[in-house]
Amino acid sequence: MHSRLEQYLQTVEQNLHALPAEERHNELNEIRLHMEALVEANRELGSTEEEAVSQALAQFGRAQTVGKELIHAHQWGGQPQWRSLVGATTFNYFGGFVATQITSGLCLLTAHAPLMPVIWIGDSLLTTLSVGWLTGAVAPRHAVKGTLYSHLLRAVTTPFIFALFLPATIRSATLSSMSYWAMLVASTAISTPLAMFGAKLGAQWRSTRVKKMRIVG
Amino acid sequence: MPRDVTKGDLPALILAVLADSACHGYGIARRIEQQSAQALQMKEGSLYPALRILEQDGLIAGEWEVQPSGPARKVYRITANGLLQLKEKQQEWEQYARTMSAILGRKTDAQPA
Repeated sequence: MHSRLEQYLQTVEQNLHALPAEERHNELNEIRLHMEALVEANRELGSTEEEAVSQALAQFGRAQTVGKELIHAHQWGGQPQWRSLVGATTFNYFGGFVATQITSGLCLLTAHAPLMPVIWIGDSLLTTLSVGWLTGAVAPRHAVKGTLYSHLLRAVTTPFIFALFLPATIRSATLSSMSYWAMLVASTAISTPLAMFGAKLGAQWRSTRVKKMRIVG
Repeated sequence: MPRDVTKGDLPALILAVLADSACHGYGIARRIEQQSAQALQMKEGSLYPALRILEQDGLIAGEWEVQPSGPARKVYRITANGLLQLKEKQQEWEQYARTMSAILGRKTDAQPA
């Protein structure tokens, strides 16, 4: 294959690293076959090899743009499909809530352990990642977007939940403390990308599994 | 004069081409070109993101098929949902064309000021 076509495919590939290897290979293979057919057609029309390749590259458009649009199509899809987006958001929101309750209980059991803060932080990060991953595995279509919305929703609703359920004395002290708001912003800033990463991994796992099942079936 | 296909119109064109028969990416590009008598042009790389979205939305289905001559190619087919979507798009387009024609297609007798 012509080196300029290889270079083009490498640039497209650089944008597709988030895809599972098999899916990435298929994408590149499809583009490669299309470009080779274009070169062949241009040659049949009388172009030299170099001219035919240049024309094919021009006909295909910028490699960077093609790669970016492809990964965007894989990760975000086209028009929002509300049911799967709402499903992913709801799953992540309530999944996160349930997981937090369970891990809070576990943290209480380790309250006197010497490395307690490390255990708590590690536990929170692991929970966030796991719930993100589960969201990707359950609702892969809009997992990343749904996880983002869920975390933003959680950041907005948490103060209201505190206001509703905390005893009055603790509530006013908590909500008027600067450190509470700083913690809320910091935890959202850390947990959101982590959960989105987990969702991406979960969606990738799901897509690989579905393909294996198709092959076996 | 050739016109560029906009991103918004590409999915409907792909569906229309696949409604005739199943086809691979290169073939879709050629058919759009031929059926528009070379009047529509596009960057052919933009086909693949559009195909992915149509696949995810269940409007088309793609499958790798071994060809009688040459390597395996991914061949796309329109689904039942795709046909419904195409019908909607055709109706929308006819409505739009009628509206534009009602305004732009009128013979003007007006004199310049």
